[in-house]
Amino acid sequence: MFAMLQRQTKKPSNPSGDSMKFQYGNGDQPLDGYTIKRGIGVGGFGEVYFAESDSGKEVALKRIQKNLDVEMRGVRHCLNLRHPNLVGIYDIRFDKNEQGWIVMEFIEGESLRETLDRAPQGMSPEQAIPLFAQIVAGCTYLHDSGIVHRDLKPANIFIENSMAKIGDYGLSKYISASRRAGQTESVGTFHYMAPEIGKGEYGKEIDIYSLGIILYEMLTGTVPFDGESTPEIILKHLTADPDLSMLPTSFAHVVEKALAKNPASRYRDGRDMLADLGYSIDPSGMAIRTSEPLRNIEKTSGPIPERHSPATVPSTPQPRMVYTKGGQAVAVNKGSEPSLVDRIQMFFSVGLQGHAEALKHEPIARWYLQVLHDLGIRSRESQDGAPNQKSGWFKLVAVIAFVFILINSGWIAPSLAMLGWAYIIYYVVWFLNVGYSKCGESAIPSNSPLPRVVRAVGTQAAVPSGPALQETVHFNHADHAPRPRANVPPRPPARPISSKQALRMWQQEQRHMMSHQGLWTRVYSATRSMTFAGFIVGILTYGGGFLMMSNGQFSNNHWLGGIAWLGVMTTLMSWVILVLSRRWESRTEDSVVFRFVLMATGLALGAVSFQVSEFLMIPWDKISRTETTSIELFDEAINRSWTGFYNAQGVPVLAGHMAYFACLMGIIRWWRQSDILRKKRFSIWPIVWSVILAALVQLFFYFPEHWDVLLAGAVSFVVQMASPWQEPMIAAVQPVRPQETYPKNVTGVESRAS
Amino acid sequence: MIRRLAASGFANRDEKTMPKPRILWIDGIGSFAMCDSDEVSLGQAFPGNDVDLAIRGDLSRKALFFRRHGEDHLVQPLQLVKVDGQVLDRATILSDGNTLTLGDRVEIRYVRPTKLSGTARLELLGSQRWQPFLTAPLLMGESCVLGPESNAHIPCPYWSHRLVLFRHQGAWMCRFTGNEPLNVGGREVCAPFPLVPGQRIRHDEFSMTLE
Repeated sequence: MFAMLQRQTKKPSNPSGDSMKFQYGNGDQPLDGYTIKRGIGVGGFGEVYFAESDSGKEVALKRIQKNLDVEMRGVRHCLNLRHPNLVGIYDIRFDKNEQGWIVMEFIEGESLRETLDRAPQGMSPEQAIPLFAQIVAGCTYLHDSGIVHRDLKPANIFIENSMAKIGDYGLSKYISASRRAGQTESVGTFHYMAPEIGKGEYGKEIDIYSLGIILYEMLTGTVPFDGESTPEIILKHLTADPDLSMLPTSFAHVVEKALAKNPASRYRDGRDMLADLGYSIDPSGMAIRTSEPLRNIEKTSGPIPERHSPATVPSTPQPRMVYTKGGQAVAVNKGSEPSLVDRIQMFFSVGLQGHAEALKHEPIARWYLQVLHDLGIRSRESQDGAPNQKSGWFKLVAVIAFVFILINSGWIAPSLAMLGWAYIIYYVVWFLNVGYSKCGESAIPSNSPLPRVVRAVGTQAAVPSGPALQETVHFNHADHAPRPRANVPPRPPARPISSKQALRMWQQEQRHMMSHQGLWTRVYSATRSMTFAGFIVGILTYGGGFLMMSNGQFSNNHWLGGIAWLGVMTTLMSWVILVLSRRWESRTEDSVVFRFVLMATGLALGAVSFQVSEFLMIPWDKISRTETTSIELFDEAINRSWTGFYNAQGVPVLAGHMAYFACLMGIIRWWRQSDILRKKRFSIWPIVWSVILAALVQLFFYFPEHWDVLLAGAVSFVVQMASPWQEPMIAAVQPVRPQETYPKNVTGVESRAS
Repeated sequence: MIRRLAASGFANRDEKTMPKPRILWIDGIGSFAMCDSDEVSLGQAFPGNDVDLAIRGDLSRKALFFRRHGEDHLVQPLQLVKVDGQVLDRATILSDGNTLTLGDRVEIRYVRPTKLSGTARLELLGSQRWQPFLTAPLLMGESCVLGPESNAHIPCPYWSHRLVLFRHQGAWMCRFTGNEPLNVGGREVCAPFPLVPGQRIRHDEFSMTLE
């Protein structure tokens, strides 16, 4: 049965650290008459396999490993149920070792969990409600048969060719209206668990409650009661009201009634719930639409993503609402594009706030803002909402830029004005074609009655203090770990740890995430850094020339050549380091390999350096110090004694350039200075260290003095400035949950932060 | 973009000499037919119908051939076949994302996750199914990547490392990028090892068997 059931059950990387291990493999026949093909998933009660009978019937075999009696009792009562919206259960068998097996229908589709994971903003009501109606129909059939499911959740619901099927009867338990007490075991999954379950007295109202949660999640993409820990979520179930503002009014009423804390206030059964959605159940037990249920839908969201493999990305454009300054909503759908007149009207009506929002999506503005962000110039909001202080070097850059503009105001001002006008024209065209759909919710005035399309998760009202959890609920927390978010590695559980450990854990996690980045993402990142590096080098070169000019040395063309060489080589070295760093950023540090590669590139850079020197005809002997420093082991300076490396004047030739650059690239751990996960955005100490090491290289391979250390310092400065940086979120990995342990692979990873 | 070539080379195909594709069963992920022949036939699932890939659907018993053409794949229609809506009348080179329509209702998407490898995946888009049940068949190039990346040939979202299958002297070899050894047929293996049918490959995170 459950094809792709693996995600409805425990995942290999789940928070509990369990891995997906199966006892049986392809070709095994633990049960007479069935041959296992592959494992499907590992659930709380056992393993599930895809198997074929001897006659070729495809089935799912569930091997019961835990709570055999509970599971079998529930399944036995469901054995002869037949409904199109229920996963069929064929048989219960026992193997030679008296191990229980359930033979079930094999579903080729996927679970609702997987569908919702691909629709983080929720499904559109047009697609969610028909599916939900089928779920309610299947659940109602169970209730009519005197069975409460007790574990309704998206992971237990499967979709095959647009048909919803409720599965996993492992927790089902026969009850009748008169036997409402005496349920002593805690069951279900706490995100979807009714508050009264902890008391051990419940009926089919707990399934109604779970259906309300599922409907909420299908429409919004998030569960109404979420939290960082199990107790927090349970507390919200017990005391908090769901945030219904994310739902259209008609659905908000349904969810509100289904999630009533008092079971008696909920829907009496699924039929009542379906009636409010415009559906009913026909005599065959199927859900049929009786009226138009989707009136007054204010909220729109993305359609249900097409079922696809994880490799393909849903490309269906999501319909969305655009709000004008006056609170007027304009639907923007593929089939209902606003006319040009409407767009022009919107251009003038969205106001500054709307344009500010649109600018966040405009490519040029986005690039500009990203550059500022990378530089740390654009103030970012810290977690407590206070803006960060602008860094000191920003002031330096600002002063340089101001001086640059002041000196060149004669031609810069008109150029800037022309650029500004060109951008305004471009922006208007862009807005009328694309941008009108981007000026979304921030344009809604705060007093607008319209709901916001997107709301941050976790904005529920503060939870009032409730009764002590231990007095009201009795859950097996180990079996009900929080559901990890889709495609987000589980946050490592933590205990009080040192900041160094926290930094390493954070870096490990980030590198793991970065390893999933695509090629183009890395290319884009490297290209952006290289562009910015070139920009910085240009400023530095111009500044250096300006200083020379102020010292009266600019009349000397020799110095001009030296500065040009410095600019070219700084740029090339920075580019090489930036590209290699982007390549290595997701890897664990391997110093030997990295140094070897850098040395190899240093040889090439040395060759380029020599060619540039020759091209510019730089008289190194005239623009460098004549008194050289070296290790005086012998009578002559050892650093100039390498045969073939220097000419008669002691000026390095090709071999000299290559040797010096190879050493310079290999001796300094440049990748750390350019690491996106380095400890600080910019530090003076790497520059100092680079200069010292460059001077050290000078002791062995002479290079025209001052230019060598200038080059090393400039490269260190540029790569730090141009490399992206991710602020360490060390605090985020230090929640105190002492009952949990570390993943085994968290520690022992070498930190690159220098 | 669709490139068309002459239909030479398809007529001499001796089906009896062509080995059937083997199925790679990956626990928790799916089942994938490894079609490593130069030619792969596709048709209707029908008793006695000798095709490499069979679909239980409304299509001809022999609908088309796929053929390796360097790092690309040619499709040779034997019935009415459309590629992105265009009717094919000759052998055509497929590109990533092409949708093949066989008959009226059977639709297959040709997915080639990366141009660096000639391996492509065939995804059924409609309600039909492969017979035997497959997650997807793979038209094998010289290598095939199983891993957590979305552009892997077989995306395995919850794995930490990659497993690379590659051809070596006519056989398929496996190379694991993780540091831990794999358990292959009961033995701990670190170096690249041959992919042997029936041998179970196990790791802390996954297990699989080539049938």
